[in-house]
Amino acid sequence: MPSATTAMIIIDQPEAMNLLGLLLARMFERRLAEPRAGRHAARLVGDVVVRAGAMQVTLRFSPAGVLVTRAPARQPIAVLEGTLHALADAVTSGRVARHVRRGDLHFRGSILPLWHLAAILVGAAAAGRRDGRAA
Amino acid sequence: VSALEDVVRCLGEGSVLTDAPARARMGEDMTEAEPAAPDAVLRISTLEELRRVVEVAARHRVPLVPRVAGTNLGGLTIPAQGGWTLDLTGMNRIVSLDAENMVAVIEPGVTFGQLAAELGRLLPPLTIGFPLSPPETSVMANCLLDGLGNLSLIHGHMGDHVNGLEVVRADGSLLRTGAWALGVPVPFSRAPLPDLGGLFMSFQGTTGIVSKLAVELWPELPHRQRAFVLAYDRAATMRALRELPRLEVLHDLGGLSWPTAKLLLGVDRPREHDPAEPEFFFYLDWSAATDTLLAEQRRVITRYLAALRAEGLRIEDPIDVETLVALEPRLGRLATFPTRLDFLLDHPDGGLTWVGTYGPLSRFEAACDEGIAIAERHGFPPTIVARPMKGGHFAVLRFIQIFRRDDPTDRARVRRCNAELCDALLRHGFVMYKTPGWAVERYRSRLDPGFARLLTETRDLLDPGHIMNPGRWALHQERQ
Repeated sequence: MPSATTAMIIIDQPEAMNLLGLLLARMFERRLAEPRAGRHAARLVGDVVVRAGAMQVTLRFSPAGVLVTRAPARQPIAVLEGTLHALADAVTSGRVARHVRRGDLHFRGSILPLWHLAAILVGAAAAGRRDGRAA
Repeated sequence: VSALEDVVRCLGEGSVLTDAPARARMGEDMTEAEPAAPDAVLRISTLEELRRVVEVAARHRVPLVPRVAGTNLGGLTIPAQGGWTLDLTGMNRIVSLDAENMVAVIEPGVTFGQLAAELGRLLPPLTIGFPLSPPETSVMANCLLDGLGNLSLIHGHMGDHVNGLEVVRADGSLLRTGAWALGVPVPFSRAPLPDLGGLFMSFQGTTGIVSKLAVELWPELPHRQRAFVLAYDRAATMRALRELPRLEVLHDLGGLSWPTAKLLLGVDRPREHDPAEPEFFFYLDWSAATDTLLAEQRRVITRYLAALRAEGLRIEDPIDVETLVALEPRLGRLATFPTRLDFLLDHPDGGLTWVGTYGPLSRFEAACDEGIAIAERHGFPPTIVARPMKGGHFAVLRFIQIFRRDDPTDRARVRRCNAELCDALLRHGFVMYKTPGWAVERYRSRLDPGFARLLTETRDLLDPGHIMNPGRWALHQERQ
């Protein structure tokens, strides 16, 4: 099993990365430092597309880590779509299901990758609140 | 007796620094302005010391440059003619904090961080307008230079918050302005006496050295919210900045362009704007005496934003700052005041400068468009701070440039860009505040001749020996 500590977050051309990619990269950076989230990430291999508003980024998961890129996805294993507002709230509050029910967030793709992705995102809520208090 | 011996007698050797590192520190700032060290740095701690030093300087005709944190971005404390830099950080007493009359009397060295700590102890709490600058910034300098703060949306620039001044004149004598001039116990207003305070506001220390300042404080309401709104195009941004103040529910509002967001998120040299990402984000603050009122204010704001969306403008609902900070703790730097903008101040390129202007909201969009084109033509990402002031009576439009300070070519590039921005923004009616010397040169030929003459005569009257921060507001060649 790949170790959580081996997970690297790399931003493809940070000078040209959009706001969504930068926020996601920072969030994954903090999340994947935690062993449990790292284990979920290690089980993801392939491209996950995230769209917020009109912005789009591809999260390219591999055993080496996650590449955040604006390049188009290659046969995405999952797609996450919504407003940045809904995405931010879901990630920080953990209320993913509520936003999905309301139609503010949409998940598409195979069940297993979605489950790993949701586990990483929902866990980000507690970590974010903790970091926010420390900031 | 030489001037230096004379001043050493006044202050003692320990307070007169003539070593090269100390002088060099006082002879530069973060901008493209060429460094120029003073002949000595004098550490001043009391009013009496200040008066004696001014008397000595007047006797020997030594130029004096007052300085506190040196965080202004106009080269205003770089000595133009050598002389002595007066380090006023030691004059840092909060002389009085009158909660009942909501006024503080402070010395030049009082910082926003220091005053915030004292205000936080008051019950019920009071506040002051905090600028987007580090906690060590001098409250007095920001007021005297007509800077802005987070209460400027309602109360105007910080020069408007000043109730009275105590000034050491160029001969060492003392005067008080505002109602204070009558010896009233509370410096409650600059009115109703003739407003001599104006002789020292935005004059950049060329007419006297302010030793005490009475500044207005404001109630800190118990319920408050800070939120951010993403706007995907300039039209939505400019319209919201024009219209939101008229709802009269906000106490702070500002727009920051996409490079600022990326700098905050750790990208040192943002280069490209994804057309799909927000071009601007606003920060909104509102506050109220009750939760119910706060919630109603939010409804007013969200209804307004929904109406913009209904017209086809691309703008999102507010995201509370707590959510953003939980998402990315670095965004906490925009959540509380005073704040340390390390992503700008500690940038690896070392150079930070701006063209910061005040002008009419009606010309916001045209000025912004032209400024963005100029910045991009010179290879700078358009790093903009825009905010309405005084209920929307005027606005701030500021273009920030980060550059390699140790590279003469880059300094030359930034000078060309700033000069072009200054001229273009003036054509749209936007005038630089904390006006740097290079901008004064550009304004010289455009100034109303009567204004220029009176300004020069005023300086000659108040500073006949031309020792007060010479080189600033140099409207005539011989005064430079």
